[in-house]
Amino acid sequence: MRFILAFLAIFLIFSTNLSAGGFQINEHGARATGMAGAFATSYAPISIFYNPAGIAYLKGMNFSLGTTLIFPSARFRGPYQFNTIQETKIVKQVFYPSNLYLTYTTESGLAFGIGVFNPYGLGTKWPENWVGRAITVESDLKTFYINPTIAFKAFIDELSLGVGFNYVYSTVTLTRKITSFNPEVDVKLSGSGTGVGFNFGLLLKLDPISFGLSYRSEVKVKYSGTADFKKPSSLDPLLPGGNIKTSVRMPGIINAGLGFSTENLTFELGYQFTKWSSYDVVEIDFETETPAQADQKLERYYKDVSLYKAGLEYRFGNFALRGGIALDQNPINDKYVEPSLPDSDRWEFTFGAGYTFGNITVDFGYMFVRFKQREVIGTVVGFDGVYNASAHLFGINFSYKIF
Amino acid sequence: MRRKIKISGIFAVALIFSFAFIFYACEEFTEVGNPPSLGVQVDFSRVVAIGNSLTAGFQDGALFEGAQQYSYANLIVKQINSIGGNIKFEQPLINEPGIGTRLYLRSLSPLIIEQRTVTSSPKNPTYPAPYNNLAVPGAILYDIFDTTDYAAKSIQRGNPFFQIVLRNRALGPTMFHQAKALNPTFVIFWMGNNDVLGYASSGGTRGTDPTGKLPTPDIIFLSLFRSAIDSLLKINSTVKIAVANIPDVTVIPYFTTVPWFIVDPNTGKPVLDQQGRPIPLIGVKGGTAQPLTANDLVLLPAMTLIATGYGLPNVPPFNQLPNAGKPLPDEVILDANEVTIAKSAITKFNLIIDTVLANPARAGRTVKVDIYSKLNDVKAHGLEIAGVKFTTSYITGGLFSLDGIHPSSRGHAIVANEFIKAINTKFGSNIPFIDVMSVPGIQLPTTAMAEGKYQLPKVPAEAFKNIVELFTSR
Repeated sequence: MRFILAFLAIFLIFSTNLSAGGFQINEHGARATGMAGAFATSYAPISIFYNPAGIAYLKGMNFSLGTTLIFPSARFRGPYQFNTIQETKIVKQVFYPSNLYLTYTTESGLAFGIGVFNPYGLGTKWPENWVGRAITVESDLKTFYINPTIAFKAFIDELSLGVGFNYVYSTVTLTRKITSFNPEVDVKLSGSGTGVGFNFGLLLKLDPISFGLSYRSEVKVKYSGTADFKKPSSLDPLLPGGNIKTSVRMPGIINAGLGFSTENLTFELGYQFTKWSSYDVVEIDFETETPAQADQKLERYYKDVSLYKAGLEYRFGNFALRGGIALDQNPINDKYVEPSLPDSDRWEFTFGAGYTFGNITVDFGYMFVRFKQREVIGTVVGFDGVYNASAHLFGINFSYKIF
Repeated sequence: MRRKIKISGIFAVALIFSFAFIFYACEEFTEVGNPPSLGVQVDFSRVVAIGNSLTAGFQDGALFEGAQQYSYANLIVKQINSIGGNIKFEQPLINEPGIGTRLYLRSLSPLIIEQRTVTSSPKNPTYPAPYNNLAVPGAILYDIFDTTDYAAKSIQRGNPFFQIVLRNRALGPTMFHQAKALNPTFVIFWMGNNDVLGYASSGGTRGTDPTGKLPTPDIIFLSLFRSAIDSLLKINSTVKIAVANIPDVTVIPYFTTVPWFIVDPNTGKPVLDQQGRPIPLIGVKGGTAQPLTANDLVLLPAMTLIATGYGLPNVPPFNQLPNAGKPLPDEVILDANEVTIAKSAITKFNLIIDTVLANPARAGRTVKVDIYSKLNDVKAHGLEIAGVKFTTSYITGGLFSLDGIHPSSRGHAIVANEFIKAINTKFGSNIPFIDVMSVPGIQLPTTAMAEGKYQLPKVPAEAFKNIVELFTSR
């Protein structure tokens, strides 16, 4: 009776959505966080992320270690499919994408550095028995980029170039429920994978004006992992679980900034372009196939998006104060929006402060992310309604000038 | 001068951004939607349902409490009560395991369904008033006004439900009179399905017309339907009625699950001839055994027959099966001509429903629930709700119960939501829909079964025969 059971395959394992989307994180250094990420023309150890050309302007050996505590909140009202505006909130969680940088710059401006950070990540957790449990309960994606970098002054003192290699390790866990049956079945897909990419940057400093440009390539991460089903034994032949493989292409990013700098003041206008269109179709390959557990092609079709940002830093003595504002677009078309990533366009407001004593600098950055209320109708998962979200981010970095 | 710059710099950072922040540092949130409301046009205080097995909550070949509590009529009432309605909706509940030929899913792969003849007793047979849910499994439109004694009718039809639901002439001599006795303010009405399903589910061998061979004639349907609606509207001056129309046979898995060609039980794919075409099953059409075509529908009970050789040519490897070489009987084939007759009856019935309800004398107090279009749409595109895709496929589609004709509990929830949607639109209420996933899905077997030899499902043909009896015995 395969011709009946084949119908199961279409929707059983994954509804139509895997997860994730605008799962980009731009906060990889508290100093830049305080300036809304407008950091393409400044230079610090964290430049390895923002613009690797910047480390050519550092002196000696520098080290920076930091983290960003992210407190997201989100709620969904709906689904309209049930003519309801009943509200569900995500379970409170804290995320802490962290960063580590080490740089060494010679007198001649030849610089070596290495950075470790988490530029893509996602975590949402909805109540176990909520109305959207067939779509998602918990999604967790982490990426670790290890990014060795070389930068040098090119031809003239005012121009530096940087280039880096990216080794990427990533883990992903997705849970949901198959609600077609009584009792319901718990689905857990988990895996890890690696990928490689490159990045380069350019920084032109014609004081007081400077121009920075950096590019980080797309990275295709190939995952392998397992599908686990918590289910009655009568489903064993249909849902044996087992090994799965998939790949996700982390999008490429272009980041540009136009800076204005005096002795005390730095101001930058930034633009970032994320080529989310690389996240189009996710193919999932099951080692063991049954009529209900067959290979999947998940259509995502994200769109490329822009982020506009402006940041300001004012220094006096050992202190620095910072502020910034950014407008960040989301890459998800209305019909693909679903609760594992309640994304929408957003405003970001930031403050920051730094203090240097001797060789040590401590930076704090705070960001408030104000998501636009988003009403989605006609979603492919049949889950129309309204999403509201906001997030508080607290960044801290300790930097040490070794010599 | 330096000092001045410093102060203005601090100002720029600390003030401008905090200014923006203070005015904007809260989540964007505006109210959406309308609050739930029963509206003022309908008085939902006394609700009565009139119908057949669909409205009764018949499922898996039987009527039992576990299914009746999810009858779409009961679900509608629950939604109304959830926002302040105060409806008492008494149903003729049957103790578990129920009355009928109940089907149990014993294994999904291979598909094994067990049947049990069950004869439980009603739960509240001495309820002192007519039941609010007066739906009688097996009832046709004619039965609304039929004054035959219930006990006699149950024996005559081989259908115990007239006696169980209507019980006693003292409560009213007909289904209509019992409804009237409750002086309803709102009536849920879904009738007429059996006036064509009786014909279709018997493979076109029996029917509800005076000859007993065809669907109810449309002229009779018109007169019965019109007088049913008019009589209900006359019960009092304010009663409102929601009327569902009749779904197409080709959306019902009972008619669409078994293909017209031979399927390899090991691969689930068609067996092909040397030209790469599927090999048709052999079945009785118009009195003679013939190869089936894509326009013929093979009914669900044929599955079991095919597994024993019916419909298959008497050549290797099929000749190992005991009945190879015998054609599938007429009762399990709705051939192309019969499909046309059934579809034409459905089209005419639905046109009658539209015309009668659209009449200005009735339009203001009635609303049509277009189940016909809804199911056609589900068949064409599926129905994605909160991450679950419903289709019209047998079992896995989630809409139909194990008997392949009657809705599953979730099927009932989806029907109830269509009613509520129509009621809200027509009468200005805003009743929330049912969370379909809060209603149980496909009940999984509690014990694992050993795999059988064939991948073909073991569905007992007799189980379905009893369902057909329900529709056609007169």
